[in-house]
Amino acid sequence: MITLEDQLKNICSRSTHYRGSKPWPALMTHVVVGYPSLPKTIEIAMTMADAGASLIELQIPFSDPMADGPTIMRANEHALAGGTTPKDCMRVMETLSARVDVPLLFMSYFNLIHAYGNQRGKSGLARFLADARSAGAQGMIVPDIPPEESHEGYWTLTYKNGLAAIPLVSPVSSETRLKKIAAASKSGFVYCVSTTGTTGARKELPQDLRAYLQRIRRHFSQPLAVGFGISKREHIQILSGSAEIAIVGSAVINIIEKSSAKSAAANVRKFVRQLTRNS
Amino acid sequence: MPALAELEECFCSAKKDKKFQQELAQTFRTYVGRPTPLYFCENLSRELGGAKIFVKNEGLAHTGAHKINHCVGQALLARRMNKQRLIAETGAGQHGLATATVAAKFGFECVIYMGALDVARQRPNVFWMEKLGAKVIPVEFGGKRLKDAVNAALKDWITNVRTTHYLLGSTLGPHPFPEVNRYFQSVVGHEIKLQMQEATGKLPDYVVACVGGGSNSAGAFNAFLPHKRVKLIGVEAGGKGPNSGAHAIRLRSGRIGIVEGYKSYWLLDDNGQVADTHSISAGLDYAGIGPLHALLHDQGRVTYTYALDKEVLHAVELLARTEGIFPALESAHALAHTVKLAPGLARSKTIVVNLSGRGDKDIFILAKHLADENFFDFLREYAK
Ligand SMILES: Cc1ncc(COP(=O)(O)O)c(C=O)c1O
Repeated sequence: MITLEDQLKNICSRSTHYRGSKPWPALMTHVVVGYPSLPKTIEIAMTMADAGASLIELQIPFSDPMADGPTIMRANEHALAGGTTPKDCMRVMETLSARVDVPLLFMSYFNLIHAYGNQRGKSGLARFLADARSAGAQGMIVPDIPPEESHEGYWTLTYKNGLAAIPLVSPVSSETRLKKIAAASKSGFVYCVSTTGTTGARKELPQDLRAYLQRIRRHFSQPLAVGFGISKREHIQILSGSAEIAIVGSAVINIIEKSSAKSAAANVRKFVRQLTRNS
Repeated sequence: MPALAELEECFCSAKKDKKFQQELAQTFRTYVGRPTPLYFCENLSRELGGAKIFVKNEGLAHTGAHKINHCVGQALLARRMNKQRLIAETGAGQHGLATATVAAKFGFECVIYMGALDVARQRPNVFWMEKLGAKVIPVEFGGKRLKDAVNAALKDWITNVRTTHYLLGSTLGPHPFPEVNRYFQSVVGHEIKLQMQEATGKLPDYVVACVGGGSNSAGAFNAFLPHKRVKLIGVEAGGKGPNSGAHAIRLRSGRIGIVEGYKSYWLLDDNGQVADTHSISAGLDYAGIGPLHALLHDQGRVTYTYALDKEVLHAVELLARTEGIFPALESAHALAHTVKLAPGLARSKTIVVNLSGRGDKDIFILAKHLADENFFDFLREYAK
């Protein structure tokens, strides 16, 4: 398995490769563990890696996924109805990290991490991070953790466990806040939420995206990844030159929802190829 | 979130602004109908045969519940921040109704999120909200109740944060919401204090209030926190009983969680998923509890207990029969506990029950549970 830092170096040097023509952003795809089932999650993630995804985030399903729009919420509800637990997600991480080369990250809401291991009264954060690390995860994306509040030492503990704590920023992040986040985050990449709002495939990306990303760039030395709303090749085209990584979540779930159980993986493969091929 | 910082800044400057305070006081007096009466329930006290029972009748405030207090306050803040749109979640519909009301009065566009299950059980309030010009959006995900409505409203807010103020309806959510609502509700406790001085020459021995998210209880308790002799009791929704899995007793059975932007006691399963709740009253049917109540519980300053659905129905009938007052099902939880508490106390003791709302909105639930066949005949006839 490639380390996250090496993969990010690859991605960035690949960007400079294309001097002259604009570099094509690398792709981070997303799965909700347990959607549509645990074995299918594994199959789909392997397909994604094989089809050219550079990074994959594994979302742990939660009852109240605040930052997610209807598509990913449905996938969360489906996975929970199937009985998926955070422990299952650890096992899926372990299986996948042994089978794919690309770096894998966990995406989770903070409450599940806090409750991890059911150690009544005690925070599950330390145990979660240790388990995530030994299962092969390389980074954490936690959308409901404001860095300035550093819940239970989240930032320092995550780095201490050898995982990258991925910061999230949005178009309404103030300069003061960006400074704080930049100071707290040390490695990995910056997750730039494309627009105010929740996840979900959108027809158009916001007009002022480029200016927003330039503003973010001034604060961080890490590569920029853009997510929320990205649903087709043309969107990734728009990002080329402004961001190193495009993140696609809901659009893949939409495809799985429309596919039969048999054809889901093949359809995902086709879609991921479309998004990654540099034409 | 920058909007939270903006709200906090606005709130802090408004508190110090004489003009803001004058307009708030004026609106409370002429529009809301403050002060609301404190009423001595002579018949009920006699029937229960113990402490003297007073009710603080927030049901007589405009729109029929205490929710109007923080709605007026927050609408004034929203205007100060130049927002054009108010959104809110609602459970029983009382907070949605009060939000739609202030939106009409102050000229805001208004959208209310309400769990689909609550839309079905609190239909009269949906009707009134729509007539006030609000758009009521039923929330179809999750348990389709208050928690899911909060979720949907938060999602709207993060999407439209530049134009929109989220008029959160209880002492919950991220800072500074709990503090903002406690502040605007604290008028209730201040009035109780003055009115009890006037009626009895002293402070009450007990103040009892129901606890959903915690706004009416925070308002009633706040003025008494420094007076350690005044016993404060919060009553949660016991639903079908503490071991039934169908209740909203968070302080005894809950665990610390961080959900919807705040840390408090939550009803969670072993994996940290938010658990299902149940209450006969939509307004208390919620898995989280305001963080300030978590603190008051841990400090032991407030005692928290619960009342069962069936005790609540009995309390509604009792107050109606003895005093001619219909309490909201939420408020009747406080009353149901008082029914247990009062007989064991001396006649010299006083209990103030915060009657957070009136019962008109519950007509369909009451008709169903009290099996009023005549009412159903009427409905069938009317629907023809
Ligand atoms: C009349 C009434 N009382 C109480 C509540 C519970 O909320 P809180 O605990 O914030 O007062 C509600 C909520 O809808 C209500 O309508």
